[in-house]
Amino acid sequence: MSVVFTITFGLLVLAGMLTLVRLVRGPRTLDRVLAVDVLVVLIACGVAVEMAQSGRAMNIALLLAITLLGFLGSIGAVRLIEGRKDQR
Amino acid sequence: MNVLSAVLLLSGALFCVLGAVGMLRLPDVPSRLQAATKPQTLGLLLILVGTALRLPPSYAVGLALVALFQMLTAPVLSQFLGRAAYRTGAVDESTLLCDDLKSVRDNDAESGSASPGA
Amino acid sequence: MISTFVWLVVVWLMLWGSADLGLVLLGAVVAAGVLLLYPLPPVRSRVLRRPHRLVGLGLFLVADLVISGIRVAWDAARYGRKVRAAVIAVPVLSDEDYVIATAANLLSLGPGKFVLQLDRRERVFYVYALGVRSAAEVDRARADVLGLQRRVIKAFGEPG
Repeated sequence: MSVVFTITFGLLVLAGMLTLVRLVRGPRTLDRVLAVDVLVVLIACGVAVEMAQSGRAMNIALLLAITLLGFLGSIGAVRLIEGRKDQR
Repeated sequence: MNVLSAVLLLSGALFCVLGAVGMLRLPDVPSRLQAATKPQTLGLLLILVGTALRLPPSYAVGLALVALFQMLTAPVLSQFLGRAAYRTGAVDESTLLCDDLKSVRDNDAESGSASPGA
Repeated sequence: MISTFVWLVVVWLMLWGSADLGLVLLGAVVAAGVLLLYPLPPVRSRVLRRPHRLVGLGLFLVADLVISGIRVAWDAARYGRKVRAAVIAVPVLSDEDYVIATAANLLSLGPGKFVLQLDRRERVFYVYALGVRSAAEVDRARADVLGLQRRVIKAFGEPG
């Protein structure tokens, strides 16, 4: 089973690195907001996998906080961009 | 149980990677939105189920709550992001086979709101 | 109102992961506070009227999520920058706000599509669909959206 966890974490890190490329490249702010949102979900995935590995469920509250704050943050950012005049 | 959980965790992580690949390869904001956030949501759900299988049943409730919130918030965000992308001209029109909203949008442009592609 | 209250208490208990009398009472206080602070317009909801249809809708959604998830990932890997999409106008089949909202959200949950705009007065959804490469596929995407709407209406919409 520990091999499974290693591979799972590896895949998540790979996904995170690919997403970071998009975060750096942009080109639009919306791309970056999207990339950050994806990163948040990836972090939530990582926390969940850690719980599966350790068998401890202390982090469920953390998981909830991460997903909900990620959602609120992204919505806020999108609204900000949409309301901006220069539209870039 | 362990095998099922392992399959779920691995396939969930795989969907996350596929989403990230789509995020890199696709040409404009709405297509990236599709390819990135949706497989990502699916990946998180699979991982949550896989995790629930390995924890005492009483914790499954909390994980189900996380899954529920994710399924409620993901579509809202994608609609917000998609609309913002369309209004700020982040849609690459060369990818569009047809655009039924274009005529409506051109009317809007006269009243001074969004005018993408100008 | 009552159902929203019960639902909030249930969520509260789920958050704590246990249920004793003190927690239920505390949850009731919090739920009442939330309802007083953030009043919602009353929504006539018949979500639980046809449970078997609701379960059917749920199973359909899970299958749709997996299948279109794979399809979108495949499209992205295969076509990359040459991917094609379409913005399609689809008639809204229901006149009830919560049926329309549910249909729009379920549509946007699955990979491949999201609702770009809703014209409530003209009753038109403008749906962005990814991976559409021909006129026939545009028609199929439109049929998919109509099919999902029919399922939602069957599950808890007004009959007729």
